[in-house]
Amino acid sequence: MTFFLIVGLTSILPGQTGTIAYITGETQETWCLSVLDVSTGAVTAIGQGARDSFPRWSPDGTRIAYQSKHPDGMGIRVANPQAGTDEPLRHSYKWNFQPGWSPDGRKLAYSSDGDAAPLSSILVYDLDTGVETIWGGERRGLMQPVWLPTTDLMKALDPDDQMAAEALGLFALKAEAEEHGVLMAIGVTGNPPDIATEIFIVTPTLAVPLLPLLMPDSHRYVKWQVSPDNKGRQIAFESNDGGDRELFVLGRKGITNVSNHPAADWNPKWSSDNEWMAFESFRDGRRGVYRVLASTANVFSVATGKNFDCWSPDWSPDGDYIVYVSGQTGTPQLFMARADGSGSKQLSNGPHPALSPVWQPKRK
Amino acid sequence: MRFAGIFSIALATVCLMCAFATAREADGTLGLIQTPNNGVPALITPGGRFEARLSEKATLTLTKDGNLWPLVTEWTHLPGGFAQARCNTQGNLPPGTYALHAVTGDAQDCNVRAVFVLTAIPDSYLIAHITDTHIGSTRHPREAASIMNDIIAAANKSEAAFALITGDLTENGSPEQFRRFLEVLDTCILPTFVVPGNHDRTSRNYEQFFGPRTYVFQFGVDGYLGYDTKDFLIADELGPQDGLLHYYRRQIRASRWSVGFTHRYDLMMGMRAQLILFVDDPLDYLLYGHYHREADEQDGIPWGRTRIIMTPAAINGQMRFIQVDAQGLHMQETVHAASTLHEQEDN
Repeated sequence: MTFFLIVGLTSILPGQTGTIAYITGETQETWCLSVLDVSTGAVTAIGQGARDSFPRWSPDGTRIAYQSKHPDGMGIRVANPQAGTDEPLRHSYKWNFQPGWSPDGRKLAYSSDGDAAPLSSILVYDLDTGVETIWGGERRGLMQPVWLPTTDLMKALDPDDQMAAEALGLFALKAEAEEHGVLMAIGVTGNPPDIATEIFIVTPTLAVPLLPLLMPDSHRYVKWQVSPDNKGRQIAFESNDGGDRELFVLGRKGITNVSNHPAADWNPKWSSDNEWMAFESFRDGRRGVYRVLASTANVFSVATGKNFDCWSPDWSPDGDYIVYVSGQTGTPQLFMARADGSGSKQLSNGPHPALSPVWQPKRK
Repeated sequence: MRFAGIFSIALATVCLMCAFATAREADGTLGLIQTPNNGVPALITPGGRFEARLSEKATLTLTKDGNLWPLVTEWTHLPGGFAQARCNTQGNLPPGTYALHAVTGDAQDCNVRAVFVLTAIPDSYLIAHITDTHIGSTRHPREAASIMNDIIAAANKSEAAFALITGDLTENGSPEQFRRFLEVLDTCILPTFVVPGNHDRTSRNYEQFFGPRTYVFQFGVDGYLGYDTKDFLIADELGPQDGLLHYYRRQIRASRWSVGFTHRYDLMMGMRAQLILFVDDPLDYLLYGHYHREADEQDGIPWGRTRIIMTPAAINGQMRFIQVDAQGLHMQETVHAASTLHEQEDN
């Protein structure tokens, strides 16, 4: 395993602590999972350097799950920066992507496919037993799984049409969610030339489309990037409902368009207090980082440029700072700013792009 | 005035010398001038404007047949220390193919076939689609570059307005293969727009020879968006491409036809790119290669509106012409323009 100090960083950030996991490398082939100590600027490469991507911290902040290429496909690995370990999961299928941690940090969900099963399934890996299980029953074409931290939202689902809900299996799904936990995922629906995507609620044996329960014409739109808040009480997602890509929030009050702008809005990331979302938008021309107060849909700029892009925002655990990628120096590098956009500071300055930053949660 | 005259003569002398002495770097990679170049040229009408990206500010001139046309430039700083020039041309600029020259205090550069001046840009025109040239491949008895020579010759004989060359330019992306590709490319009398394919991804060689992997250009009423194919396994969703795709897609939104050209389409390619190009604001057409065959019923973009034109591989001696008019893009039958046998067996 590769585990070495690459470079001491440019600037130390007084008062700021914590670790940011990110991806860096000259080309995609050599992208490597690395961690940056915010207080000292030290950078350590901890991944395989083989198309590493999609880093995700465990809820307790001790481990990082990520995807990495191996000779036969793509696998999920779990690295522990402090212990200096980096272990692969044992997979049933060749291709495994986009890991997501269960709320208790004992399971990982990801999408998988193989030669014999070209449409992706959701698999759940039990880190205690090493057993990998297909979730969603027979449903295929599922991807981008994320765990619901609680089943609060499930309990609140109470569609007007109870018969339809019964037919869709909602009540059985609620019972299974209480017992095993529950995932949300994006599922492909329809047939060419009119395929679309829906948000699915996924349990071990069931996969039920969520929005058709609440929006009769949901099938007309293509959803992406479903993101539950940290308490599992509201869900952000993208949809092209409204003519362009917008951010919506589904909560107890219904579904609200919180980004509402003719330019595209992408990639919602909840703050730790579940009040704000950081996201990407083209409302000022180039791709920039913004934040929105979910309860009012008031949008504020965080990081934008006239002739460069800013993207991939993630919140510090205390919600005071946002880390993001900026192209303002020519090569994409990590920057951080206060949540109101002030005090922007460059964090990385290596020779290669620094991408996909995720801030370590508070260690428990 | 006298100073200006002397300066012009000196500049002309330097540029003429440069035309023979310096084109790109000695190893064929891009130097002072990044774009336009012979893989990403500028198409204008006399008096038109184009943008040039350089590693630093320079005096810019167009040359053709030993004649010089100075450019009036407005400069903008770009991230990474690059400089962008908005280049204004003279209204009496004769139609034809121009080299772009750049001179600074201590450097000079020349990009041949970088700027094409057209009398007018027609609403109805022909384009040549060439893909998968695989320079360096030994899969056939005949050398790949020799096969590409015949393909380019066929394009030269046509009435095509420009050629789109959609990736797998080389067999393994080595600098030597890119240099050989450039040699053949420069026999083309048409403007040639290239994008990389999966065989061209060795290190950053493609960028060093051609610059941007993602770019957009307007040809009259039609907009063309070239981009690097990202299939799911190597999706560049972390990097800058998705932002550029959306930014450029918006720029050609008002076009009569919005045409994407890339190396490959696969349903498992990066999802964000698919949302941008085929779902939220669908391109009208996507041109690609990669599969070395004609499209069949299984091919297509399942999101709805974007129609595909897939062309067999140039390495197998094939190419295609596409007629563009108010009714759409009309692909013609595949042209078998080159033999893959040994030179002496060609007949």
